[in-house]
Amino acid sequence: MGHWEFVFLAYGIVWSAVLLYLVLLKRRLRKAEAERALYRRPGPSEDNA
Amino acid sequence: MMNTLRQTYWLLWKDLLLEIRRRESLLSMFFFGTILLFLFHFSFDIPRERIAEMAPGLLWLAFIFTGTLALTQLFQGEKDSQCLDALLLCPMDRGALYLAKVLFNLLMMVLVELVIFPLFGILFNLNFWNLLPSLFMVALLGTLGFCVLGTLFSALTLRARAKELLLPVILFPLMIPSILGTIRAMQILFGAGNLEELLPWIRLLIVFDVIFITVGFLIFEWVIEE
Amino acid sequence: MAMSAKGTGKARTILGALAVTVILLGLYWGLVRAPTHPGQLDIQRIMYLHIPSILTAYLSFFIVFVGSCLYLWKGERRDDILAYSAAEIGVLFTAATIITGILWGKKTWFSPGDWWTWDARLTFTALLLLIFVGYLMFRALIEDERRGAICGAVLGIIGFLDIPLIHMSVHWFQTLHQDPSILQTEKAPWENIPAAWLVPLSINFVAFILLFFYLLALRLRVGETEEEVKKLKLYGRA
Repeated sequence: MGHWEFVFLAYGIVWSAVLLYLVLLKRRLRKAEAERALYRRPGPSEDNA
Repeated sequence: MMNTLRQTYWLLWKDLLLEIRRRESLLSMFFFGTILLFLFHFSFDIPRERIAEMAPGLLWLAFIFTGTLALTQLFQGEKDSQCLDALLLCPMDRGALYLAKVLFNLLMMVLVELVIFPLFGILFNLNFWNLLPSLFMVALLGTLGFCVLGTLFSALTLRARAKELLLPVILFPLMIPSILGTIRAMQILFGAGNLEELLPWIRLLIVFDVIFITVGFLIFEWVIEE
Repeated sequence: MAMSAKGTGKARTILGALAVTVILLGLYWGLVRAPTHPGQLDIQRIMYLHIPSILTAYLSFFIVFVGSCLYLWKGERRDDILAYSAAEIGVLFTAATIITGILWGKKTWFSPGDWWTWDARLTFTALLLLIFVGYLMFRALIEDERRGAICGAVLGIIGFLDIPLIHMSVHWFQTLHQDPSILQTEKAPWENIPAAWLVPLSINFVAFILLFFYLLALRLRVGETEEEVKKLKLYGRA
């Protein structure tokens, strides 16, 4: 007793930090992919990735 | 090898000549160091009996700050006058350029230390004159460590934004072994500790200097290219 | 890479799913199944995060070093992206280590009311964080890409070589002031830990390693895609 709040705090901070980083990465990836698609579309070579 | 040393010598000579003619960095470093001593007096108001135990930390802090001031200027002259490109066009070892800058920086800082150490003793009424030679030996090792890494990072941050800010932020954490070693060794000297206590720190300082002068010498080619 | 983008995407998804599974298993084992520690009580459960975090952080910084060396040696952008990515993830895990360490220490061996103590290992880990936050700042503040990559590589190598020296000096410095912290033991770590705690620790360790590689793969993909975009912008449409 009395320790659980610290345990949950620790787990909460760590996993939300990881999740936040994950979300930021996903967003960055989507943005980059969208931008790449924008530059590529007019070209015929779509599947050379 | 002889060739590299000769090139180092001439590059060092060029920097010294410039410094002798302009006397920019040496004077400003010296005054900055003196001002820091005054600031220390005001911020700590150190009692007389505690000055010996605080002296190493204060002195070394003053040198680190003063040295950082000099580092941001180390390649500025070459950059401003577009001499860096000309220097790099010369058929010479990049390592020689690094060594020359390290030695120049070392020389400047040692000259400042030669004045600031006694000045510290006078201002704070610290009777440490018999310790001075051994303190200088430790300071020399610490200063070399500072110059070895500092020169490298001075060149690295040359083209970064906010480089005056960035340099200490990157440099200081990496300097921790050298800073700790110097201060601790000086404290042991002040406290009249024995050689056994002193030796590990001296060894640490030497190892630090040797590792990073080697790495710096080898890696400088990439750092300064363009 | 020889594999197609779609192939690596699929592999990444599988890796991610695997990571999530083991993480959930680790959470269950660490928070529910593992018995309460007799001495430290439930606060010891933080160790299931703390120890895997720091080991993963070390792994990251080692990869920064390897990527940096490879980049200086061969000059391939991919190695630089690897170093940069690993540094980011390393900072994340180092920060996690410090936070969990403080929360654990507060209930076990900090003086009451303290949120910090100048213990050698805590100080050392904080310095590690400072160095690699400096690395990220450095990368952000250099505009020229090639220049940034070279500078990052140099910093990555110097930082890694400095780690043992910093570790040594900080430990020497602290042991002069205070006793070494309470966890000092002569035996290898796994010989001291009973199976009841070793099992959740190992599961969480595997979970963190999987998570690390998933994040690294994702971050590499981001770096590579951004690289492609830059090239497309520079040389026009493909």
